[in-house]
Amino acid sequence: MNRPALPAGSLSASAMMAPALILVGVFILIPAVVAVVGSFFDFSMTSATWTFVGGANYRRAATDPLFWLAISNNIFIVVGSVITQVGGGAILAAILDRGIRRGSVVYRTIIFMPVVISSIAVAFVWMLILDPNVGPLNAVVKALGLSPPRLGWLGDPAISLWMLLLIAAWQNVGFQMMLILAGLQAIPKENYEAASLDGARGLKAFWYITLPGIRNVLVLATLITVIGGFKVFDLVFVTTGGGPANATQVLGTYTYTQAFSFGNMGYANAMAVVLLVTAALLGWLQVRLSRRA
Amino acid sequence: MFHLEVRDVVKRYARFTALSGVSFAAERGEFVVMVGPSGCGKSTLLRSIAGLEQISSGSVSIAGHDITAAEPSDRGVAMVFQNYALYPHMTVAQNMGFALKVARRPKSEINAAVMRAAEILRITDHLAKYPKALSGGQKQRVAIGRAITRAPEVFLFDEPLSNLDAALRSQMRIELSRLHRQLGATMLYVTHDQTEAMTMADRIIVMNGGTIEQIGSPLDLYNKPATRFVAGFIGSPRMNFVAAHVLRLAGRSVGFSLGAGLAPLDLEFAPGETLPFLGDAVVLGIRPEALGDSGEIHLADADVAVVEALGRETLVYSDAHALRTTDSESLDGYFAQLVPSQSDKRPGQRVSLRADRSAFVVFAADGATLHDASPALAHHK
Repeated sequence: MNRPALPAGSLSASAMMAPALILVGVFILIPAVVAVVGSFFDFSMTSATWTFVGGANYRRAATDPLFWLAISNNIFIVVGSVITQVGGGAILAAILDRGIRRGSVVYRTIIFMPVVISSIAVAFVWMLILDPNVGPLNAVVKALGLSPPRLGWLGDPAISLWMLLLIAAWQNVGFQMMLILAGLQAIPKENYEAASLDGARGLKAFWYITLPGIRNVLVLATLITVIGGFKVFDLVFVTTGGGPANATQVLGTYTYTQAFSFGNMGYANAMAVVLLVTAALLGWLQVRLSRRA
Repeated sequence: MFHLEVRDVVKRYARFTALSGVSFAAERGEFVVMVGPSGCGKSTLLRSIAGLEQISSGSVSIAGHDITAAEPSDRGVAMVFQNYALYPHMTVAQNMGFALKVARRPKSEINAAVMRAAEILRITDHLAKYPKALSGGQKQRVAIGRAITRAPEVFLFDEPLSNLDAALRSQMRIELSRLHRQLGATMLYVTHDQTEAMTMADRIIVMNGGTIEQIGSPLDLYNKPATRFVAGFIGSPRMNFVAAHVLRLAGRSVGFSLGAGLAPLDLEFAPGETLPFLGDAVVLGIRPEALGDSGEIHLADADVAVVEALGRETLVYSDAHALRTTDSESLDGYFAQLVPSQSDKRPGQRVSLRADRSAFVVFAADGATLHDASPALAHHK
């Protein structure tokens, strides 16, 4: 498949890029610029005029305990997700790559299934499972002779964030597994054979051959998870709405609340910009790290 | 004592037997080439010696030690793979020094070993590069260098040149021969390319269907093939085969019928050669270079079908109509003829296929050689 490249700057090259560029422009670039500009103003959905306030929205964020609570909840989800999703995905991938000979396709499909389900549907399914009155989880816990949390799995501020972590892991671990599995299977068998002749087997082969071989994939998987953890919104919004008592408030839901419940569009924009810059930095980091190898 | 000894090695998989009782031995410093078609078991045998395959029964010993159950790294072997199998995240120097690093040898020793190997292979300029920056030929040199740094008892090569283009391949052949002389190491080399086998080997092992057909020096195999398979596999273009049956027997003289309308052919069997029985179906073989315009025997008239002018020599493929070669792999039953010069033969031209009596080889129906041709030099004046 060696097609001649289009001459740089030619009309047809621009024409072919145009649809993608227009979509990116309309749905990403322009809203991002509007958000940055809006973060320096005070306005609501229905304001006729925008009042310039300079960095006041950012100063407000710096002193808003809820903003910091949301950030710390985000970090909790990020760290927890890297462990459960990348770590869990790596373990599942290793098992499917080495441990299981029969039916690995079936397991792969089952584990991957939640990835293709919409987050909203996932949230509703789990709300049913965790429901304190009719949920099967309570039934199972009771059948084991234990007592489920009195306020409900999602209603207890001490455990609701952990539950979100669990749901997110259930939904995403299959994706990370696929990514890492592909990475594992891209390492040629001969490299392990050469290594075994060179004296590297078992743990040494893992350290010298497997780990460097999937390094890029692990970096990618981790950053996808980190960015996803900062951007998390729909799952939290549907299951807990940030509650109980802000126990699961994250940047996404807090921004939404400020914008659409309290009408503080400028403040919401400022928080969205913080999120945007974080995600952009992480994306840049990912490109840099994977180019190094 | 042999340096490498393989005894009755059997390798069975769930559904088929890859090696059914293979035995051979190599002297210290010998360059042994295992050759055969794909699926003949040559790679399985090499991998069994390397310890990458568990053999079902039999034994392997190197330098007097039985290593049948030893780990691959404890066998004193180093292997060069067809696709190089370089570690992509390590530099050339790190690739070459990896085994010593895993063995926790001092840095100075590793560096010295890597440097020595790099000098032998003339890749000192590339030591800091990563494999992806190297050409195919350079990668293969690094893979060989990785083997050299380990200073193994036996070098194993698994079709190391198959991924290279023709020009580079013939250059690397010469280089491997030079390397073998320089290191004086025992080398076991697997290939499906009979040219590689003929040019590099001290001894060739011809394998077919999980067993050894014949072991011998390149010229032994060429001049005195033990079976029809070896005769067909060694030599390019292949030997021409013709079906015949035994028409008459008189003392050691055997008369063969080649078919209706063709003159019978009488051959004299040497003492010690097994005589066929009257009426036996046999196969006669004749090398392309022994077939020409002159010769005692007129085999058949033929029409030239294809002429390949190679400059120094010419390959002529002709259609003898009534007389077809029986080899399914030759072109449409054409006779291959190697003319050791430029030729003015043209497609469509009528020629006479002739050969000396001494050029014919006779194979029994089961493939065993009954009667040898005289060595090539004798009948090619």
